[in-house]
Amino acid sequence: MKNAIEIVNLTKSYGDNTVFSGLTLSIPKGKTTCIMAPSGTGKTTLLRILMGLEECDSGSVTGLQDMKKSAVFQEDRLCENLSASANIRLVRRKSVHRQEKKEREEVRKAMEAAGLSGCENQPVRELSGGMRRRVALLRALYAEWDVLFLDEPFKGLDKEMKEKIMEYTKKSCEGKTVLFVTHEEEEALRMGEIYRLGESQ
Amino acid sequence: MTSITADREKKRKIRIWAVVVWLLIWQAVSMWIGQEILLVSPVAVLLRLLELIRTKLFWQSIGFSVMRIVGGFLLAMLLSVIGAGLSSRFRKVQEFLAPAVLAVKAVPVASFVILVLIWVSSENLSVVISFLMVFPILYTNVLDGIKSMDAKLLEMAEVFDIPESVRIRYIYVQQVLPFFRTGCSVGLGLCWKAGIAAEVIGIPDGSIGEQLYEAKVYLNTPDLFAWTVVIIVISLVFERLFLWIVDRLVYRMERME
Repeated sequence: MKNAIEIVNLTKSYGDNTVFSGLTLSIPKGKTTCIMAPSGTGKTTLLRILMGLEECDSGSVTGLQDMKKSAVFQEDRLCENLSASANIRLVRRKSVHRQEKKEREEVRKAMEAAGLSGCENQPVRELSGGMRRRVALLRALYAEWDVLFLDEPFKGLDKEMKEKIMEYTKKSCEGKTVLFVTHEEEEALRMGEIYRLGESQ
Repeated sequence: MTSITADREKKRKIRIWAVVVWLLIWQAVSMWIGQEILLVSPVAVLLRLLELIRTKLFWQSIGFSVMRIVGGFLLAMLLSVIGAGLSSRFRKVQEFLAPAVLAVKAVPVASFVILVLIWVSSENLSVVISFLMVFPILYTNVLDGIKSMDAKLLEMAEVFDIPESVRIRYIYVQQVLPFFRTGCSVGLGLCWKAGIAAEVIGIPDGSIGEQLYEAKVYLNTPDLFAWTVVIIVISLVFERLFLWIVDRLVYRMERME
């Protein structure tokens, strides 16, 4: 396995609108890379291509083969009727009913750390925006992954909670490959190495 | 704070005082007419019902009709879910089923009853009619549910590489269940109405339909009313019981017990 995800000459456009052209970037494995750019400059599109949800017009991406992916999307993308705990447990490849007490305990502890104690059995449709965001983040961290895509994961959290969750995420991602997209400099500085989209395309 | 659903439930709820007033009106009108053959009193209906309950035929007739009408409903439920699943996956299946579903929806029940009587014995008529009434409703509802699947959730499942079985159970079923539940609620009421109507036309031995037919032939109004009450009660009990089971399943699924 290569020690980096290589993006070479990547081009993507929607009709006449070119999102990025000739984008070349090397994402080191085992580290957190923060992609910073103003809104509407193709950060999410880049993540979608890397996640395999969209095709690029030209160029190549190597080093992602056989890597288990996990993500926090721009939207929470939770199953509204499932409980918070069930939403998190859903992403383990093992059947949810075969998950043992130990695994349930793991989820309970993670929820406690994220300030979601007591919400385990509550359907997510009843949770606030900030709580839902935290559930989405915990789900991504709980999955079995080799590479994690974070698309503005701390959006909608108040300052105090953001601090706490950022610290928790950073700790959970130590030594792992993370691609973090944001337009907030402070978040990027805290999380890892910064790459500014558009500067060296 | 009360939710909108709870508010609606409250508005829809039948009040005991309203039922009592209607019963009193019924009693008064019946006394005013003074002829049981035209309008039997609620008291006479109740007394006749108490008499019927003690007979073996009463329970045999209920058993006969329940087995067939519910059987038709369950068969429709099973095949409509399979049909909708296949239709959502294969366009050709949907195209193939579309005219049949439309035809079944449009043809009057009475035409079906007479037509089906040519093909099957009157004994099994209510199974077929119950099936035909429920299938199009449930098929359309379940298919609509599948079609309205949240594409973003499917993308999420794709990225996390969630196994197909888990996707079906926790993503598809979760999204489709409200459509399925509504379909069941409508279908349950309809299968009883159409099933009994079919039995009245086909007159299978030992069915509720046969009892209703005999009440009509002998102008036995108390029996007619008593059996009607029985049909309403069975239909309501079955609907409540079935929806309760569906809701319990949803509850368990929501918590992944």
